[in-house]
Amino acid sequence: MLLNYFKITLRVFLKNKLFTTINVLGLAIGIAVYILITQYVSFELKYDQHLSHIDDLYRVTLTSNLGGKGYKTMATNHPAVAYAMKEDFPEVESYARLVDRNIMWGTFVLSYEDQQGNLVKTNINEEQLFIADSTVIDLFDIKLIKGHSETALTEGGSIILSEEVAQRFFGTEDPIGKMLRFNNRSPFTVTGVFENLPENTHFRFNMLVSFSSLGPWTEQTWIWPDFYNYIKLKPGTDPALVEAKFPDFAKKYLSEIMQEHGFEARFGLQPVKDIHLKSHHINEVSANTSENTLYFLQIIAFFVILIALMNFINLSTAKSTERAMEVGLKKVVGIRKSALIIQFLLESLAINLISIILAIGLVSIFIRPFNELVGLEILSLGMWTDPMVWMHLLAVLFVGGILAGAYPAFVLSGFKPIAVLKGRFHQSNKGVSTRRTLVITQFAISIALITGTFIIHNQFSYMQDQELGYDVEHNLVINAPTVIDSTIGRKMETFKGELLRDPKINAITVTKDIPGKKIALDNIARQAHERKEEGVNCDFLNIDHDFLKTYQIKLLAGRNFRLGDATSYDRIKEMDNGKTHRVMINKVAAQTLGFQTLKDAINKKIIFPMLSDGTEGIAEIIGVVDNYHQESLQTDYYPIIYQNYSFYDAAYITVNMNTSNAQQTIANIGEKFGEFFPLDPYNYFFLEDHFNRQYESDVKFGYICLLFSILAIFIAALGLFGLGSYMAVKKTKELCIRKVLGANLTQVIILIPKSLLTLVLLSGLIATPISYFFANEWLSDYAFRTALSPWMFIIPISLVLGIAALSVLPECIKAAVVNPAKYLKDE
Amino acid sequence: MIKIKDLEKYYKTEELQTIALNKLSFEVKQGEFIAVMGPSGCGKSTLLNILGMLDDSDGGSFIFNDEEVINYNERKRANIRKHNIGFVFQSFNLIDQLTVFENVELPLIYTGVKKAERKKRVEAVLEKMQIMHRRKHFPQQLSGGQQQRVAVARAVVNDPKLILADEPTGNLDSSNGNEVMELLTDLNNQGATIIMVTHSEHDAKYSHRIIRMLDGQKVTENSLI
Repeated sequence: MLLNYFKITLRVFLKNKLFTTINVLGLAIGIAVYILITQYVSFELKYDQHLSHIDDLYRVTLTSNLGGKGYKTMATNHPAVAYAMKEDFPEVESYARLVDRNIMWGTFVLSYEDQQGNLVKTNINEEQLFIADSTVIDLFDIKLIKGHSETALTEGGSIILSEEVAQRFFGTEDPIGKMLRFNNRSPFTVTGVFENLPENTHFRFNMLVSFSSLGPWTEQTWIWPDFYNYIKLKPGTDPALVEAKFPDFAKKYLSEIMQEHGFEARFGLQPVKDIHLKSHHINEVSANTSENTLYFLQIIAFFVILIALMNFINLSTAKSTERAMEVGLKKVVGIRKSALIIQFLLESLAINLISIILAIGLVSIFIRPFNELVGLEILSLGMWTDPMVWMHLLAVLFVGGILAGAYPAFVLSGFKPIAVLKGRFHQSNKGVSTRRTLVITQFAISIALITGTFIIHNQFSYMQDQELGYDVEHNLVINAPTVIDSTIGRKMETFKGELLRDPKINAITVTKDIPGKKIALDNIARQAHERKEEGVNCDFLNIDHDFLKTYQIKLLAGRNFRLGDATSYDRIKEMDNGKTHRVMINKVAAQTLGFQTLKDAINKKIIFPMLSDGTEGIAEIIGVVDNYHQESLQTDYYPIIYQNYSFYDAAYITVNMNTSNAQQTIANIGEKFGEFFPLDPYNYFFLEDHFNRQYESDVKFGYICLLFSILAIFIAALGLFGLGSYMAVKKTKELCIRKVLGANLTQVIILIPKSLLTLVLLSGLIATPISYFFANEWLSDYAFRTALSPWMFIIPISLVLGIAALSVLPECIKAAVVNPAKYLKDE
Repeated sequence: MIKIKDLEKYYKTEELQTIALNKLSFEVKQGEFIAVMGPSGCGKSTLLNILGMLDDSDGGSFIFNDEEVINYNERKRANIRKHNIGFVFQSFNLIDQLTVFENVELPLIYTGVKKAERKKRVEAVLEKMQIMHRRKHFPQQLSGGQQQRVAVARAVVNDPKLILADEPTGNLDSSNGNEVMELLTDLNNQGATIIMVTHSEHDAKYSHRIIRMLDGQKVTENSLI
């Protein structure tokens, strides 16, 4: 019996090759998309889930109104906070603090002896090095492959490396006891090697230096909110009870400083398990995502597979006229209705099974491209050992197979044999509205996706066409030397002079940060006559007198720095003696600081903390420069104060050069760099590449949208083809009658597409407000954005209309050219 | 009005060729009512389809209103058809989604008649067929006899010179069948030429002349008047 079912199933498939192929292909793509999205979503949802203390682990956040403009919350905090919490609150079992090496030590060259005994130098910018309490090993479940987890990070001068780094630095040698040097600092000893961290953890590092290397001052420091503070509460502790104690805690430790600066600070607990999905604070350690995006993606996945399944139903019912005779005959010879239902369900399950197998193949093939697309190692062949994946697939097989099979099964098995055999077989109108609703839904989704992709593309080209306000094309950036001595100032000037002898080089500037990169330093500044609480937050960029020339930034008022303007620390300390620290500001800073016009700002005094201990000093504004895009167009212009220190605090040397035959110039610069700074590696990049890298994640997001749009529209078009064929079969009689009554071919051909295209237009009407809403949401992340125009909605709808028309037309033409005489007689 | 000579039509399948019309010749004059009879498969319907310009022939001559139409393309034939010929089918062939009024209106739409004129003409013909009160109904809400009257209304709304009827009473009971035959006779009396394919001797008696066919050939032709 079963064998007979399979035999018939196979024959049905072979007889209807086109329909079977469309069914299988549509479903396979739908299932593959479903697997891809589900894997991506589950990857994101599993962030930090590997941590065994996840339920008791919290990050201590800091919310304050320092610098005006309301309260802002930071992911970082003062280094003393977690220590004091452990001392004050019995609920706190342990704590760990981490700080970026850039905050403590800036940029430096890391050197070590490799397996062959060669001294290898590498720029630290390429690595993820943090300084951390030894407890981090327990709190973050760091698995030591070598070394002892209890002691690896307790001593000052210890460093532990990830497996990958240990392998890269020392090859097969045992890294324990090896020395790493950071410029002139005393060397760090490798005391452990840890398993590479999973990709989906919010805190990724590949090297950790012991916190004790910083000295004991961190336990008393309450004015440096750049440290990540994590605490582990005793199991079962209600975090709300602990948080309730925070106001008093803040008063105890911060009241003095809060009064002095006129601000309020609050502490908060943030569950680590929520960080990746919910946290968007200042100083996040890595880019987080939003739960809504994930739910939205999951809904798309669900719809894509639903669309594919409904296609199957449409196609099956479309074919039912041809199956009717088979059903009629079987019924006449006495087959039971249940046996017929089983047969059709088996066919549906078989189609689903083949599609799943094909989908597994498709996903396996696309593992690498997909990972590259999203820039994360999300997929691997290992996913096929995950029972959850198989649960999903089984659900798709049975729910999909039975749902999709049930409708055709019951419709077909319900045919009345006599009517069918007499040829008086008509299909019911039942399900027409269901199918219409489905077509509208699938096309609304497709249109929304295409509109979204189109708008994303528009925003990218808008950003690329924008004037950045500085020269991004002709600038080569070199990592500034870090191995320096007291002669660096003079040496650098000579180096610049030597390079400028090359006629291809126009200007050179030495700076702490570069445009296209977030400025590391920010602080509160105010006009000299204002009170402390009137201060506003500004970024501080250290530059030299060639900065404007090199970057071609316009000066709007006052003057540029001159060679003798550079200020030393001594002069700041002695400023009361009548010496002046001169600064320039940008246009936004002039407005934010409260100057009426740009000229008003010139020669005015402003106050801000100038030394690392927070001591304030007075500076005089000598010039106002035009706004330019310091960061990507996602970020609005913000106030920047430009300082020109005479002490060396540089990270980058920017060379403005003629870019024709650039390789030779770059080689010449390298040669000179090697002569002047023999202990530093010559690392360079073009500013343009660097700037474009800011858009990488957006570009990827764009590609993912494009991919899903194409697949969704493909599956929807398949569905429309199915529905078109169905309607063509159903309406052939009507077409023939109309032809007999005098309709010409065009009038007849257009009949079916007209009604289907009306549905697509309706989808457009539904999709437009939805895509408008989401486009606005997405664009609101960009300070500089393209204006939404009606075309951005009309073009996708027209495109989808075109695709829809193309997918139904062939079947309509086929139906329209039927010989009416013959068809009506057969009816 | 119609003059066919040596008309031929073959149907080919992969293995064999069936002759549907075998050098068939006859004439029909304006205002005649002809019944075509014969067993199933004798070529009656094929003949009707060729006369209705729904189908091609494979040889011979077909003169319609003094015009040789045998080699006309689809567009030209459609044009002659929609202005000159009305069809009545055994299975009525009404469009389920359209109302009685809309069904009858269709041929006028395709001949480009203006809306106001269409309304006038459709209402006039519905009145004549006594189904005006059903004009807003859908076909499935009507009895078989009523449906066939709608089909006849549709066939004559354009004032065709020729009405082709393919077993018009085949799906009707005898009283409804008689009504339809009366209707056709009336139309014929008003000047329409009618060619009707039928199995029914009873219906054939309404005609002026019976052409009997077998194997694609005319076997007898007897006049009833």
